[in-house]
Amino acid sequence: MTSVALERARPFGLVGWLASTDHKRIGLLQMGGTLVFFLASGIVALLMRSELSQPGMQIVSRQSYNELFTIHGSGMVYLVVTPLALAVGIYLVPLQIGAAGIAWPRFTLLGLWLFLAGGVAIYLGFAVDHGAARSGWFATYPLSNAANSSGKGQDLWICGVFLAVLGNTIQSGTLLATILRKRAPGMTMARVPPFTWTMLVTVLLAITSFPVLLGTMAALEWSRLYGGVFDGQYGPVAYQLLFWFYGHPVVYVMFFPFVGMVAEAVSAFSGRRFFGYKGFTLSMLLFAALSMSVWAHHMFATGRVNNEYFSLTSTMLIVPAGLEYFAVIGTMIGGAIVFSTAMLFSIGFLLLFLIGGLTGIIVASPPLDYHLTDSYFYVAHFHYALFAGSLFGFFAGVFYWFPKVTGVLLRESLGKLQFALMFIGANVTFFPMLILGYEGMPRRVATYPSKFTALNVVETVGGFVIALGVAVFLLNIVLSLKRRIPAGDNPFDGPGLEWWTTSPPPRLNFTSLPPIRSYAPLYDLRKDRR
Amino acid sequence: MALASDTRHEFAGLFSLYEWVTIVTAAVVFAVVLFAAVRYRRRPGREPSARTEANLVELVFALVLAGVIVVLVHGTFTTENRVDAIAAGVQRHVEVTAFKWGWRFTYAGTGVSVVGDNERPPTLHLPAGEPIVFVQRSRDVVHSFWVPALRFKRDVWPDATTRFELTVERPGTYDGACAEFCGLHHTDMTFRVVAESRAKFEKWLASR
Repeated sequence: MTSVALERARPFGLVGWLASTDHKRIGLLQMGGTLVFFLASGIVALLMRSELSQPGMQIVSRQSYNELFTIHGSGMVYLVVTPLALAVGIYLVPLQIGAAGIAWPRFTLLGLWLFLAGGVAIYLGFAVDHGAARSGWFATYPLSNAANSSGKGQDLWICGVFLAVLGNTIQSGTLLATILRKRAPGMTMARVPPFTWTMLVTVLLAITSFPVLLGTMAALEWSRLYGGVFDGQYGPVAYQLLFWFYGHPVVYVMFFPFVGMVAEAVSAFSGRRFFGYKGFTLSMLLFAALSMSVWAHHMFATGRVNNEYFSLTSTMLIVPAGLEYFAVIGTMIGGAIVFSTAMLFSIGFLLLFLIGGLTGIIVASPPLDYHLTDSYFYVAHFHYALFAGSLFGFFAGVFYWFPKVTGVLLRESLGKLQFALMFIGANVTFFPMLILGYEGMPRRVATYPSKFTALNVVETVGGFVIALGVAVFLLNIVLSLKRRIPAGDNPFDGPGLEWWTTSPPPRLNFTSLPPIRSYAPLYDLRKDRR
Repeated sequence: MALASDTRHEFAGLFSLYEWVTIVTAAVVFAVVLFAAVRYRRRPGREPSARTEANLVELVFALVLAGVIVVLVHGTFTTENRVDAIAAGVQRHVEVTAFKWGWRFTYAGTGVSVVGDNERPPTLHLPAGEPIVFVQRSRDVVHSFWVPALRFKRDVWPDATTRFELTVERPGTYDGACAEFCGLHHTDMTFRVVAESRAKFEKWLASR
């Protein structure tokens, strides 16, 4: 018997990673990049919370504070949660659909490079005259023009956002092609696992809305250099409409994949098939379609959009959101639930994202939004959605799939400690913001009247509790990789194809595939054996 | 009967509807999640359910959600119509000019105006219990006129005029702030609203 070399020798070391066309390496590198930017954005947040621990100016100047919240928000949106969502998809989607790789791997790799370059460009702003960008993560015009935001920091920001979002757009395209064209025989669209379904609607949103931001950033830079595009009547409002046409869909890009991760983890740790699969996939499509038509709900207080239309479409999101909860909770009901760290983070996601969602319904009502928009109520709303929601969903995914990626288990005791710290920390940090905003504290202020002091002190304490949780997470990863507890191929009895192959999977993912007769092929086998 | 443009009253009414829906929904979901977590924890000798869907229950649930949407949207639309309305024949107009980083309030037809910046924030005197139309414009970037006690804000644009009507029901002193981030001294772009009886207000106006 002769052996045939199926692949060329792989380059080693850093080049082997940075030039790899293996979707698993690209996904992992991108996750590593987002982790670095997550820690940077987190340190920036701690600086802000320290400044806000007392009224008056303590540790930074007003200008520095404006740079800090701009970089914190930009970092988290452009460099952490969005590329993280795509990175998890890049790693997992081919495995879940039984493919040997991702479509157009070199383009996928290019997306990673563009994202990293964009991140470097944004942070380079701290090194130039006049400092980093300081006009907020949505850079309203004319605040972001050359006269009002002088210095190269803003230009670097525009360049960085453009590059990062271009990378995300390209990767969305390769993921879409992968899901549509590279599914294993038998894997019909009606058998695609829940996480991959959420990735599909995510990339559909991304490829339809992200290019609008690319155009907007190009026009913004043109306006800074030569003027014109957004000057004159309707210019500033046109900028906001264009920005939010990207800016609202991206909120769902930063949400759907994490719902998918929770769906998979809840299914595995309830020991049963994901419940209400059809309703879930239909609701995802409805969710995506509606979320393309809600963008100007960020503009109710502008007095320049049709509030009723955007209020109606935004409130209608209750239906798909409710159906998602129905499916995930329905999976728990009737299950045999194991309280692993992944399950705890999933439950935390269900409870805390709910607060983000319900406050979202409140601000979808223009007469209520007139008071609450651009206040700390709003800050609380999107931190419940993005931190206590999406990132909790991500941690559920990490504890669920870490053994598949590395071949070793994470420490459950440290994981539960991390969950406790983050659950408490998130509520202590973000709940008081609801009250402060209602009482009249605007967002993006470097100091505040003394009547707001007590709750701000509480929030600052909460911020450091979250930081402690992140430290425990990093410790867990280092410890688990050093003192290895081998996991085996399917330690949690997961339903998807990714659990069929070895941990970690080989270069081309599979040496064999089981028959695929549903969205939970490994559970079908279980039934056969019984 | 509250005045059509008593924004504080309108906000309170609509917010209580949303607040109840929010609290009841949160209570139900929290209870169901915790019930499921406790009741269906893994125990020896019990197999997980093999059921994969409950289409009828899901359909009924979706219809209930649709009903909630109808109630909320109805409340929102009727309230917004009242809040956004500008009554014809309102006598008192205040022109608001926002700039980096302060405010100018001009009482139309009187030649009186007050101005202040981030160092010395201005005071906006208003007659209590009387509808006032505000006409706003910015001299530079986008700002936003916010009086938290009145539960209302409206952006101030450089390229267009925005108008709204407000009534301060009770005499008193209220904080105001710029709510749209506008650069270096955004934090300090505040103002104060002093609402007083009509006689007192007219006296103040005449003294300027």
